[in-house]
Amino acid sequence: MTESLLEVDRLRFGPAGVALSGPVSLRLGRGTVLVVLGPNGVGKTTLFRTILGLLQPVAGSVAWHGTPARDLSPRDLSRFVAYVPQSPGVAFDFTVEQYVLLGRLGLMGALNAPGREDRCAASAAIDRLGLDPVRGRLLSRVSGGERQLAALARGLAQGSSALVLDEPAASLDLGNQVRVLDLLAGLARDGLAIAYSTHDPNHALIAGNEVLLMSQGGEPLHGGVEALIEPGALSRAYGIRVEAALTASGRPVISAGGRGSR
Amino acid sequence: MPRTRTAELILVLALAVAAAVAVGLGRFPLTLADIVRLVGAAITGGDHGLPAAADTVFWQIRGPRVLAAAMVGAALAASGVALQSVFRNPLAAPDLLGVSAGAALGAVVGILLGWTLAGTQVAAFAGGLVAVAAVWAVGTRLPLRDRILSLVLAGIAIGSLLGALLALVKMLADPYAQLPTITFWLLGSFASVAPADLAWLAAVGLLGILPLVAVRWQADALTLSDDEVRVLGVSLVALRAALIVGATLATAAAVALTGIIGWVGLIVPHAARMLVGARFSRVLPVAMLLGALLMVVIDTLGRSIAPVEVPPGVLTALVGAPALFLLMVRRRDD
Repeated sequence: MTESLLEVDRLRFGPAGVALSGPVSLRLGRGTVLVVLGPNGVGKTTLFRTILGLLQPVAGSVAWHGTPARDLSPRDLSRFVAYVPQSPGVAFDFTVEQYVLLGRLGLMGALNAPGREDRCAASAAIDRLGLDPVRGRLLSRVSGGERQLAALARGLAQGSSALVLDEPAASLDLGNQVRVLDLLAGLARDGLAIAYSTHDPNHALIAGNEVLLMSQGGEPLHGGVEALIEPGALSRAYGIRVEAALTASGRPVISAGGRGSR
Repeated sequence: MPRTRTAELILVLALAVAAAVAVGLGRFPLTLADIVRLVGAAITGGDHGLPAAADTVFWQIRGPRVLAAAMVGAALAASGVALQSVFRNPLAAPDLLGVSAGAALGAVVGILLGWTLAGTQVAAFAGGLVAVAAVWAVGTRLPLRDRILSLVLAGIAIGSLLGALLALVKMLADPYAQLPTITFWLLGSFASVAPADLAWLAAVGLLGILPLVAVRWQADALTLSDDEVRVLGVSLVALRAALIVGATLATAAAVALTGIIGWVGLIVPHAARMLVGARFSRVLPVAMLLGALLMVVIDTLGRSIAPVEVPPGVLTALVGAPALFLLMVRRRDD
């Protein structure tokens, strides 16, 4: 029995107090990777913002370590979860290393300079993501993929027990996509709880234990990868024809469209 | 990890040289040796052996003026650094966001009503704070996706509204006794700085810089979006409040004493970032040194290049406008 970090109970959520979707009930424990799938505009980012305590639930509850998210101070919440948004931007041009170090700000005293421990955590995160060669480079001088990896490293440097990532693979090339997904699976094996959203169901087959499949109008479905990453559920959620196949090495893949698409 | 502070060191030396030159230049020139003797005499209590006029020029006229220029430059630059962080906008500045105009309106009202410097400072601070709050309130409510554009538009609108009110106050002012002071003061001037004013400038300016120094590490979080900052565990409200109050106090201190001197708060933080990178904790001191240096040079030029004094606001605009243009061109490249 794994202890659950995050408990979501009959959650209905939406911006400005109007329920966009729900109800969602799930528990996220250490070592679990939850993949959130669904069409554009269905509320994946809104769900994440609600889970992170940035939006009030319309109904139901979100709790971290048994405490409702709304009762947690930002500082306490930052110990439990780190957030990597979709296409993270910066107003000022930091180096990769300085940017990753920002992940430690909530852990440093409000008036303190980053200490040895903070620098070590940032360095470890940089190394883990293979960013060492560009650590001294300005963010405006690295590739989009490296920027996304830097954002992930910043989330990792925060040292929290869960990681919420909004489309972490969206701006990455094929190689970096797989690298990031493998990394997420590896972090889960190390004991972190991970939730991420994506537009490619195949990502759930590479890194994922559980799936939350959201669709326009319908109730979100929560279940295992095998139960939901299959043609029936996916074609209902996206409203298109979806096929599953096996690769030459026997790995399942999902393919959409083709003849007879609805 | 070795920390290099080359930029700070060079700027301190440059500032010392510029200040020495500025104090020496004028109708009654002082050499470096004179300055050393005057300072030495003041410390030891001995006799400097120079004419009494040298003493007056150094301690009563030029010394305070150069010191005021340095402090005003540093205060405006610090204010610019803070506001650019709060607005996540490298183009924010006390003058673009209406802080200067608000502070000016407050100060002009103070002059019109014949208040003391302290009263004028308080009025300037209140005016600046109201202006920046209005720009923030309007700018964040505009239904535009581009937040920078929203804030700049709000700043322009509030700024011209304040300009209209300023014109109204000018019409009400006594055309012989008050209007010339107000008009001259709106372009900035260090000519009438008395040694007693310096204590006020230093006290209020310092009060403004203090919160900026306190949050210098956490301020870097503002490069991220609001959501990210909150999940980082950084208190967004406290951070913003510290920076806005600090920047407004620093601007008010400068504006109430020497009038509106534009461009410094916009351009100097950029130059500082080019020198030492984006971290607030380094940009702040470097921008302050750079602002002090720029202001001392500009004021010295202003009183040396022409038979009449050229207001510093005119010279900073002559330097600042082309510099802004270059910055915009660079931004498009990135």
